[in-house]
Order: sequence, then C-alpha cells, then structure tokens
Amino acid sequence: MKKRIMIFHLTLLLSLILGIPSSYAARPFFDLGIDVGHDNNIGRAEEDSDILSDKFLTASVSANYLHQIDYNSGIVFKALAEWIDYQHYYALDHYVLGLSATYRFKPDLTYTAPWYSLGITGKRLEYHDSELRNGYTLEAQAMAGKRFTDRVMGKIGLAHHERLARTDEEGLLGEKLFETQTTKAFVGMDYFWDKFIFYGQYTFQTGDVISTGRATRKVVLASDEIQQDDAIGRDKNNNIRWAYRLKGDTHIGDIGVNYSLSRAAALDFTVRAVEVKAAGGNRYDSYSAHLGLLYRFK
Amino acid sequence: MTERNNPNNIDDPRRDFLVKALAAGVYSAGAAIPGLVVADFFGRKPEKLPKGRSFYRIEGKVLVNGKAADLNTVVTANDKLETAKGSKAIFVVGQDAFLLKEKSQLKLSAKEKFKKRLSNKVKKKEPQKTHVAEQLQDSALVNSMRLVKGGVLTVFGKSEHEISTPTASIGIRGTGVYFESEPERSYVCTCYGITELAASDDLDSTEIIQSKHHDAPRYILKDAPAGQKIIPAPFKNHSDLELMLLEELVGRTPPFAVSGDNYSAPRRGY
Repeated sequence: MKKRIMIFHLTLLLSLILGIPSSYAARPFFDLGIDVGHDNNIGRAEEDSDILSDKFLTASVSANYLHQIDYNSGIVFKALAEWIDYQHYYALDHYVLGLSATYRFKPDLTYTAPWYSLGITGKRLEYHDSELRNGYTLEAQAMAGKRFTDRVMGKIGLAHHERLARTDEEGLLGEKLFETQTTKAFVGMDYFWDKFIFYGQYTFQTGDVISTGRATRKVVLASDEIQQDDAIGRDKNNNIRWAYRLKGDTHIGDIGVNYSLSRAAALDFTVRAVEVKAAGGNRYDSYSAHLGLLYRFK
Repeated sequence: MTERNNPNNIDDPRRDFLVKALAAGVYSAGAAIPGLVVADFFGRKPEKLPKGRSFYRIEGKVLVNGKAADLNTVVTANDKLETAKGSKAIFVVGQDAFLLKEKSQLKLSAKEKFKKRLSNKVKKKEPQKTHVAEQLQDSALVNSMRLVKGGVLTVFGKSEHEISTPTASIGIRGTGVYFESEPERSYVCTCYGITELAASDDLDSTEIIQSKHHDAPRYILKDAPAGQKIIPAPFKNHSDLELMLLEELVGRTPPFAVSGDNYSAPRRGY
C-alpha cells in the first residue's frame, strides 16, 4: 500500500519536472469550467429504495502546457483542480487535484492522417465527509484517432485505472473498500457542424465496481469488500446502507453536444448512461446529465 | 428601389435561399440530390482541388464580383469576394488557399512586380534582418490583395505576396497568415513563415516576423504615435485545423501536426 502511494507521488513529481518550460514551442494555456448536473443514482444502487438522485455543481480549472518536441510530436502537461458540490448529499462534496502528461504523435502531417497518444494521470480525491472515499487515482491511457472527413473524427483507446484508498489505519475491515482496479476500452466519434460538435462514446469497462445499498444476502456473498457507507446514510426505515465492492462489467454511453460561443468559450451538454452487470447477479444502471460553460485563455 | 429588392443586397433572405441552394449544387445538371445531401452530411476528405475548381466549400452567401457564387464558380487573381453575416468561403487560387470569414470583403489582384517600399528602411534600422528584407525583395511575380473588412486565413505558395488593409501593408513569403481588418486596426498572425509588417501611414512602424507557430500576433493601429503602431496581440479567431485543411487543398502540409488543442475552442474530455 505505502509502496503504491510512493509510486504515485514519484509519478506526480516526474510530471512536474518534465513540465518545466524548456523548449521554444512552449504553449501554456488555461481552461476554466463550471457545470450544473443531475445524477439519478449517486450510490450506484440496485434496489429502488436505495436509488438516490442529486444535483451537483462542478467548478474546474486547469493549466496546460504543450512541449512541442518536433513537427510530429509533443507532450501536453496538465495540472488541474476541481470542486464538486452536491445539493443534498454534501458528504460527497469533494475536490480533485491532479497532474497529467500526454505524449501525442502524428507520423504524417496530412489532415486525415491518424494520430496516437499515450497518457498518464494522477489525482488526489478529498471528500467533505467520507473517509472511505478519500484517496488517489492513477490512470494510464493509450489512444488513436483519425479525421475521416472535415466533419467526422473517430477515436479508440484503452485505459487502466487504479484507485488507492488513503488511510492511516491499515488492516481495518473495509478501509480498502474504494481500492479498485479497472480496465476499459472505448470508441468515440465526433461530428463537426458549423459551431457545433456532436460527440458520442461507448466504453466497456471491466474490473471493480462499487455500489451502495442494503446488505442483502446476494450482495454479501458476491462482494469482495463491504463497509457501512459513511456518506449516503440510512434508508427511510433506518436501515444502514452499505458500500460494497464487486467484480463486474460496465457499459457506459456518452452523448453530447458542444457549442462554440467563440474561440475561447463553449457550452457543453453531456448525457451519460451506465449499466453494470456485477458478480452474483447484481445489476444497476444510472443516468446523469450536465451542462457546462467552458472557457479557455492563454 | 427598396433595399429588399436591391439585387446587390447580400443580406436579402430570398437571395440567401437561392445562394444556399446553388452552393449545395441543387441546380447543377445531373445532380443526384440524395447523394449530395449524404456527401455533405458526412463531409469531405480535403484534398488538392482538380484543375478548374476554385471553391472547396461555400456556406451562406458568398459573392464573386457581385454575383452569387456556387461550387462551380472559378476565382481568378483579379476577383472581388464578399461574404455575408454567418457565411464562409474556402477557395483556392493557384498555389494559394483562402478561408474568407463572415462579413468580409477581399479584393485580389495580380501585379507584375511590387517593390517592398519599406525594405530599405528596415535594412538600415535592423541590419541583422537584412537577409529577410532581401529575400522579400527578390520575387519576380507577386499577387497582392486588399482586405477591406472582415478576416481571411491564407496559406501561400513559395512566391511573394502583399496584403493591404486600411491600416497596414504586409509582405509575405511562403507563409500561413491570418488577417483581420477593422476601421481602427488590423490584426495579423504569422502562423508560420516570414512576414514584413508596416503601418500604412507610418514608415517608422515596421516589423519583420519570423514565426514557427503563431509566435507573434500583432495589431497594427490607425491612431497611435509614429513608430508605435504595431503592438503585440493575442492569438484569436483561427485554428491549426483550418490551416491543415487549406494546405491540403493545395497539396501541401503545414509544418506542425501536434498542437495540444490550445488553438481550438474548449471542449470537455470524456
């Protein structure tokens, strides 16, 4: 556990060192975003009585820096901070601090030539009132994309994601509940029309999933870890809601539209549908939607 | 005659419909309308335009020498192009490709030769840049153009060009450049290559820009003290993707492939 956290910190440090401006083609730019959204199943629960919805507000800022290596390749470094605020379940309010580095390569300079990227992202998650959820995430991603025409672009990719719990009390039951490993494959398409970008992505993810609800026999038998959820509370009959980790497959569909207000600002609306088929016959789905105003400056 | 019935009114809504239909090729002989609609929906792979073709894309109302343009209209080096609000034209003349933004007027002209009237002065003031001034003077045949208003993104072949706006004169060689023209100022971004900027009415306001990737955007002001009319400006209103598309239309590529998204509008990662 400590070794993995040490690797995480070393990765962040390396990203910072590599990110020090050094080339003629240094290109810093900054992104700001504010989103309002609705999630119809914040606990990823299966039973109707456990399904809770909430609205949320997200504010984010990131500093980005392009280190252009040559005509064909470059590395984009990003430092980001994000705050997510829930309307009712404020224990789930949290901030995210992260660093990422993405190497991009386009062997051919022509318009429709494919491009490739390799990226690594590390984040720290700190919740308002959910010790279980505090921790770190690490993700490595490989992606390829191509413009087919001046209106259509496609991309495919693979990613591996690890979430590490941050606890000072090792060995306690359930303290590692939110330690998860997932691998995903995705395919996406963008459609450009005037000031609009219509986009969609399908993601298949396999690995650990976490759900919150009453501890039924089915859940207890199938789960790898289980612990009283410290953020979502009890149901209307005062039954404890439990967070549990299962092995499962997740199907995620995203569709959205981005409307460019100017070269520096855009409105973005996304709908996400998630369906999980987990061990022991556990299944749940959720939908979320969010509308954001994005701003970029240099 | 009312403004609505004026045949030269580029914003007449009936004209808008006709021009859009023409641009879509609806009235072309033998046009297979469903095929065209499908092709337009999915877009096109940008590639070098065949001989005799000038326009790659027309959106909205575009006039060439005062007449509505369609995809079969040929643009020559002495034509005048005009776009209405919300309109856009992407076209090629020789080895040069243009993206004319909305509400723009561009007058093209072919000249036998032009002399860079500022080059000698620049040579005296900045001896280290002499070779650039000399390079700019060496050309034998030059196309010139005047951007009366609006904006135009251009990529040029090897030959030398000159663009003028109400406040500026710009000498160009083998370059991608974006210009905007307003009554009180002009905007020039040398996306890559070499340009020589000068204020129209001030021989002391000159600058040679040698850029690899949007390195030094500039405003050229109408009302500013002599020698101080060229000032730094932000990057704005054009993108690497547009440059790539234009270069593709004339069979070239821009000198970069990776931009890190910093020259496009923001969007969410998902």
